[in-house]
Amino acid sequence: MANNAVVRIENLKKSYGKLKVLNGVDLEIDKGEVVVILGPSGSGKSTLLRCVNLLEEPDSGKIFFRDQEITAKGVNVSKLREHIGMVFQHFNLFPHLSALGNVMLAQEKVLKRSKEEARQIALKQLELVGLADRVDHKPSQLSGGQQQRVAIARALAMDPYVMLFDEATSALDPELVRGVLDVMRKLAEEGMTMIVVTHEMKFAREVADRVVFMDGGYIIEEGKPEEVFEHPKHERTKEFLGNIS
Amino acid sequence: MTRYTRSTLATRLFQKALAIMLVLFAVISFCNQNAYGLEVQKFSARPNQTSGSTVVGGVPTRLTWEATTDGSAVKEIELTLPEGSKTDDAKLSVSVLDGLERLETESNSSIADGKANINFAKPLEKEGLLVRVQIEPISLDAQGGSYTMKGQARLADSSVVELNESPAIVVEANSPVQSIVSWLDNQEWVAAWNSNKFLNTFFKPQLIVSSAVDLFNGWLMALGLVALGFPLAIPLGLAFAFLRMGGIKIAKFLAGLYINIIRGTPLFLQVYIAFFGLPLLGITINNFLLGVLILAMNSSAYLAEIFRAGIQSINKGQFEAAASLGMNKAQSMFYVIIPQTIKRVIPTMTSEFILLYKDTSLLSSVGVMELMMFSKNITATTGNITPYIVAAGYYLLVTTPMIKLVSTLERKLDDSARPEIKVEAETSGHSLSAANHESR
Ligand SMILES: Nc1ncnc2c1ncn2[C@@H]1O[C@H](COP(=O)(O)OP(=O)(O)O)[C@@H](O)[C@H]1O
Ligand SMILES: [Mg+2]
Repeated sequence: MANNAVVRIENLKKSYGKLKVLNGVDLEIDKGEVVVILGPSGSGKSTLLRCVNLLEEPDSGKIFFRDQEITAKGVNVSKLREHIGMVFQHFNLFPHLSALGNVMLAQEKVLKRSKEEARQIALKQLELVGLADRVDHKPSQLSGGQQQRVAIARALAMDPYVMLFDEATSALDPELVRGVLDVMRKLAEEGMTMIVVTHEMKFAREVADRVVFMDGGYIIEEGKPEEVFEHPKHERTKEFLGNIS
Repeated sequence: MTRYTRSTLATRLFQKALAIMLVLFAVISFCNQNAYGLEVQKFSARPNQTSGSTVVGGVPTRLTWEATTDGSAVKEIELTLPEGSKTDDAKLSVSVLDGLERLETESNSSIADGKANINFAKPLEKEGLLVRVQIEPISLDAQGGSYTMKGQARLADSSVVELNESPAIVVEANSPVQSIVSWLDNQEWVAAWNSNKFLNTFFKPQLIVSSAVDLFNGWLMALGLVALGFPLAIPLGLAFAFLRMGGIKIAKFLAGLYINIIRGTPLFLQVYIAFFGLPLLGITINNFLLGVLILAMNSSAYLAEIFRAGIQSINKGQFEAAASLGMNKAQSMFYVIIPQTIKRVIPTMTSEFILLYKDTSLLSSVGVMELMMFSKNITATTGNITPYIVAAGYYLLVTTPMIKLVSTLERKLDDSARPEIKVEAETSGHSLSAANHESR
């Protein structure tokens, strides 16, 4: 089974009660690849992303993470999540901890790094996201954009094999979006494997290696950004892209 | 034959012995009669405190001494007053009663050098007269102690007989509080104040002072009960909260049952069940400890709900963020959720503490010597409500600053929570108010 895929999804299905949210999704993300998932609201993008680190439990289908089937029984879910970074729309920083504390906590408690090591790594990560001068600030003292960059640093400090971004800039005031996108762009350039759900078309066009268009719980179309953006094959894709731009 | 002789001998001996004893008894009682002159019957001091029935030293009182005549002509009585008595303004009054009839008797009396002297113009000759001597105002020794009155009587034939010693009176030492109370007793404004029925019944100054002291131990008891009971309730409450939220069905059910039964029945009833039920099972626990236990168990149910609501009020995103970083459930709880919960539940917990502190009063019904118990006792002996008002003061002494603390904490919480609420728009819909108390 060994191949280059970091994440491989096979025929994934998920419903909430009667509502079918994912209707058989197949997707493979290679090492170093940046996949952007587009699609209208409610099409199942978040659910798909959250299945990858098992925040949601799939009904059927298989997901492999670095050749390990994580949908199999007896998988240590916490262990699995250690190296899958996730960035949420609403940041979800720990409000009782400083920026530094947020980035250090899981390093110490989960990866069992020493306090000093965790601190050094946290400082480095915060510097990389441009927050070297904000390390001691509480989340409530930071802007939304700064909070989201702390959240990215927090995930990166865990040495993830893949980063999941779920509308990381949707909750931000427009002037704060760029700072976060720049960090994501830099990360992509450095070769991070990323699955990004976003409505930022420019980012998708410029950064994505591959664009996936979802609707109604199906992947309707996927391909290189220039293909999907310039020559969308499906009606729904055309409609969606037309509405957006 | 032998038997008969023996029996008559015994009878004779017995008769002789009886005769001798009778003579002896007659002689002794005759001598006694001569020796006493007066038989001391009573010695008492009037209670000189507004509360209770105690006689306090150093505070004016009235001494009453009574004796009956035995038929010898009593001309003069000299009483030795209890040592340390102050008799500066003391007046002495003598009355002589023949049965219910009061006799007109003439006498000279004086008090000097710790002795009271009564000289009758005509000797008291009749047997069975009651001589009552009252001395007022007189202050007994401020140190307190047990005192009797001794004395002598001079008979018409100039012979002097020692009187038998009177019963003892117990005098309490004059504490600073008691001297304040006696001082208040003598103040005009206090008298004026107390002449108002309302003020006298609810705010009698003397009782405010004395109850404040008498209730102090009860206050310590109430504080002790809550100071031990509440910290014990916290881990219990946390345990019940976790069991109730946890995945083990039977534990979840039992914890829920416990919480609902405790919250659904009056604490008063729980106290009765424990205090009267356990002894019937042959289990005896120290009243104080049992009280602490009942309070802790009761409070733990309320705290469990406070903690549960607190934990559930934390945004779902916090659990997800912790989980996405690889933390297991315990780590998420311990490092992420609980630290945030503590801040949120402290105001509600403080309110719960206030409730529990007030609820210690229910233990008075089963004999725990706390504030209510003491005030009930004082009110029972004085017929005055002031001790209850003083008890109220003791409760307020603790609850007032704590109520203030709660509102300060709540304001602080509001301020610090605002930016969070703004970003965390997708709240899970739970709020702390779910745990707010219905009245018990
Ligand atoms: N926990 C949930 N319970 C019930 N329905 C849900 C839940 N999460 C998502 N859904 C529903 O599933 C559908 C897909 O949601 P989502 O994956 O969030 O879509 P997207 O991220 O593409 O907007 C939506 O209709 C949403 O209302
Ligand atoms: Mg979504």
